[in-house]
Amino acid sequence: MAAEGQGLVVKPMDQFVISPLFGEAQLLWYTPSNVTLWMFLTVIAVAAFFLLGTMRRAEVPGRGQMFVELVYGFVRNMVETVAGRDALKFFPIILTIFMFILLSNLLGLIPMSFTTTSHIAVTATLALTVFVSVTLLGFYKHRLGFLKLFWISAAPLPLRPVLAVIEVMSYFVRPVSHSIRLAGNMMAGHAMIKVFAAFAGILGFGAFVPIVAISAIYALELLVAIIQAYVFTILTCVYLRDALHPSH
Amino acid sequence: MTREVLTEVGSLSIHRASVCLETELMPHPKKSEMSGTIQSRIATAKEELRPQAIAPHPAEGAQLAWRMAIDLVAGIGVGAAIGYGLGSLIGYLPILLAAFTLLGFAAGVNLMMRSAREFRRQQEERSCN
Amino acid sequence: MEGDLSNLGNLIGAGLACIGMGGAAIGVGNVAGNYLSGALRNPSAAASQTAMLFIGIAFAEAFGIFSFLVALLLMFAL
Repeated sequence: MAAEGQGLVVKPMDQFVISPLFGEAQLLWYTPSNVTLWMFLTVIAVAAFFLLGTMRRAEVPGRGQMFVELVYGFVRNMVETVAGRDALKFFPIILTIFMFILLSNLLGLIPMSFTTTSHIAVTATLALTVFVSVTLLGFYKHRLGFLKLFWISAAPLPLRPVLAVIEVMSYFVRPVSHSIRLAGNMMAGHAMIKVFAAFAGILGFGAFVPIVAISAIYALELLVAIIQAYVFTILTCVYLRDALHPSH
Repeated sequence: MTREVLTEVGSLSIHRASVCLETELMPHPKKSEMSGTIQSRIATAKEELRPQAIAPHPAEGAQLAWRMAIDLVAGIGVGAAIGYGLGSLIGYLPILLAAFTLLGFAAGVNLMMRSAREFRRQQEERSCN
Repeated sequence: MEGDLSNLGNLIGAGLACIGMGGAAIGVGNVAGNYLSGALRNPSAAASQTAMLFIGIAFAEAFGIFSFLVALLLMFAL
């Protein structure tokens, strides 16, 4: 639209482009790309957080250990309150999901980095992992009794088949909204920051207004990054509870 | 006292430290604490150890509304997709598309009502504590 | 200036679809404002109605998201 280097150039979606790391011509499913790199960094960050934090294993915890224990206790408490005591068996995977999402959201906030959770492909994989494993768990634990989840015995009998169809559809809607919510939130905030940055580029001396706005949005994004990880995890717990106790 | 029995393996070290401190300071429980069967004492101790509801956050309400809105939209989307897929399988039948979109809307509302019920229950628990 | 007439139509349609988001904004403001005025009249009843508040906001917001989706579809998919 505009000529090179002047005028309003807004390209908010360029930060989400997946590009090969080592300059390959085409992007195949095994090509190492920036997604691979940042996921790898996330995994390293999670491992470093827990390993370095609990390395000393002091009886009176220091700052790092205190923080690790805080996160551990927070997620454990969440699993216990939301999904029940018998769900504590699945606490390790839930903590893993929480830490992975939290740290990839937070690493994505570093300028010039890449937010892996802004891609629906990534979040849908996470959501489908939860969906498939929770469904299999439900059928494994209750056999066909798991289908009671869709058969509402509190409703009058003629209504039940209609409600069953609606319940089954709700069950399939859950992974969709589960993944779209995380990816949409991360993408929207990052794109907004880029739009404001484009305003700052053309305003010259008046650029401090968008820059202040960017700082505010950045703080909001920090909040959103943490809350989205929390929401994803708490919904995982809710689905787990439905699988463990299918009768309403 | 019963706390020590019930403290799970893998609880936090700070918790462990406090339990150790307690057992050291009070080697012999008082007579009144001994009254009642062991079952009732275990029950009260379990009640004490039950995790409290997670503290509310101002952003939580906005998050809930956002969650409901996305559930509704995703419901209609999934319904429309199922309707379109089935319709084109059986030869294109627009009525399937319409019916499943409506069903998807109902599913979204159902999910929304469920999260509202959840929220209300959580709120009641909080006001009880 | 590249692009053709149908592209122009898509972009104009996307812009028009975004009017719906303004409608959603009005709706959300209406719900929240009425809730607040009701809650100030009778604060003791306010806490029991927050769930209804969020349901109202979600319904109003959902239709804004629909128009946003339509705009996205027009811009990128059609």
